[in-house]
Amino acid sequence: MDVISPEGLRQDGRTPTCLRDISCRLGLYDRPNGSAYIEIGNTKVLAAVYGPREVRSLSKQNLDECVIQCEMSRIAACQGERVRRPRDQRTRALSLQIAGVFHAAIRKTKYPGSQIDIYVQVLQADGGVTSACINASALALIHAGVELMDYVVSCTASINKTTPILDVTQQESVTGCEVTVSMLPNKGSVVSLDCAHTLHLDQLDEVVDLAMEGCQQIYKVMSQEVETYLQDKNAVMSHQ
Amino acid sequence: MTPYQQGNKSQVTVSSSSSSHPGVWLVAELEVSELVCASVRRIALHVNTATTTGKLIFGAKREAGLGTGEEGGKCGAYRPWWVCKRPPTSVLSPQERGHGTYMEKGVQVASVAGCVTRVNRLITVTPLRQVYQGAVGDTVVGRITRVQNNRWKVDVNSRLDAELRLSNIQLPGGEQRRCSVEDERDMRALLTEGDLVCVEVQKICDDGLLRLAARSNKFGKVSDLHGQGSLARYITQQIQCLTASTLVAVSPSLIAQDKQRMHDLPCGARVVFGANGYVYITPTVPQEQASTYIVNFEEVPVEVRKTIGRLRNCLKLLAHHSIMISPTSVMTAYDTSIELEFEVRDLLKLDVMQDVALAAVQSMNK
Repeated sequence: MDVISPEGLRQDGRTPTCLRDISCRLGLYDRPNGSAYIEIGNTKVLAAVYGPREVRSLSKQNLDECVIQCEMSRIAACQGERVRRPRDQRTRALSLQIAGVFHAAIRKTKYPGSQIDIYVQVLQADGGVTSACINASALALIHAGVELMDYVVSCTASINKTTPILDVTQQESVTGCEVTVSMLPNKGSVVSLDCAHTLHLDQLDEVVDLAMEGCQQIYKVMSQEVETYLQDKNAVMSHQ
Repeated sequence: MTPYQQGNKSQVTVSSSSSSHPGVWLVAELEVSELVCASVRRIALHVNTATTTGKLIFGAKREAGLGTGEEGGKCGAYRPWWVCKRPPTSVLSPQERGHGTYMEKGVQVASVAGCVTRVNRLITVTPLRQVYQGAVGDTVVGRITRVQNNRWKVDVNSRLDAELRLSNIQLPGGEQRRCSVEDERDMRALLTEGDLVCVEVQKICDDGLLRLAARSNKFGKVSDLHGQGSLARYITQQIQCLTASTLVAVSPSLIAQDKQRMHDLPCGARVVFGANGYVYITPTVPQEQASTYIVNFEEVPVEVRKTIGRLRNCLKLLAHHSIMISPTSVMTAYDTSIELEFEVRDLLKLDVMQDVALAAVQSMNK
């Protein structure tokens, strides 16, 4: 089956440059310092942030800046096929990648000798899992009041023959590549770029450009959510 | 652009995003000329006298009276903003860069999401949730996490575990003497991992480590059998009802500033509002027993235990709705929940929590 129909639409009715529906929420839990939930189409991810707090293992302690740790896991029924091991080598690699992205965004020198833990759980996976994880963790960090240089926003893109497509689903990424771009939207700088499967070098530019455009759109949704959250909470809090 | 007048003297223009800076990160832009600065200072002074907080929150709507003071209870009294921006020409001295902001290419940018506070030229951004920052003289409640050489490590909800030295506590019996080798050996008998202590912040070290002290009579160990306290390990389920005390953790930003931290509430409970967001509730005890290292095994009546449970749930519901926590607000919520005839367990339901919180805010505004 074609990824793009002769009418120029994708299987879920989107145009090639259209994002899936995004919704997010801040502050789901009491116990972690920050928590968030994001839904991009059928991809659903939960994130919780603990810290900055005392370093758990002293050998890792860095007296100049904070340690950032990330642990990602998937629930058994998150994909079509049952996940046997919620934490395999691939999720460990992804955890490292997510932690690496936040090394660029968190103002680490503000928290010398401390540790920030990010826990991400994938509830449902339908393409763009890494980017959803990064978006959810960014929101959770904002909710926790951790000092950041900027939002971190991530989006995926792919190419079908010669048409670049934005925000690919699982089905669409099977036939092509999946490029994940994470960026600081207000600085316009890309902090991580990941390409699964092969992509011709000549096509890289337009795919990355499209993903960056998608990032800006996702950023608008995320900042809107943060603002409404603050307004809701602050209205009551102003009562002294 | 939403320009608004400030006492007919000058204008502060607030724009939703700046065109010169493509980043939408900058939500609010203040075009501050010298003239405006002068009048802003005057407003700040005016606000200082009018309110107790002494904060000028920028971006407040004119009708809301700059957001603090008597209109404080109204919804949307002041709007939180991501960021404030200054014209690149204005030179900032280091002390003008407040908390929660950083400088980039001469522009002050917020690094946390919260409300922007401006006092004269100092701009700070305060997030809603934050770990405890620490201030000398604060009374805090903490839990011992580690026993080390000559000192205990205490979890006080800050970014590093605080330090309580053996020489900084009052020895049992209240005697004043130098700590001997025996004292050092018996440290675990005084306080061990999991014990709760009520202490004072004595000093903040250069690296941000808090140093604690419990030198006076009112500080010291607080008995905690519901937690993982030392004695709790030996106590079976049946005799857990002997003491009823509980620790509630809320965001430190919700704790109202207060000189006195320990309150004997009229409902028959003693509450310690730790500045770090840990609130500890016990039955009222005679003053002389307050800071011994011995756990009291007298049986606590059911009514008192119910009171404590209700207080705990009231604290949780206030925190859930981001209402400042002070003896007044806790007692109001407590009385409201009794007036509305809710059972203690009902207070855990979300809709009941909302009802009680709204009713409490209303009766506080009266």
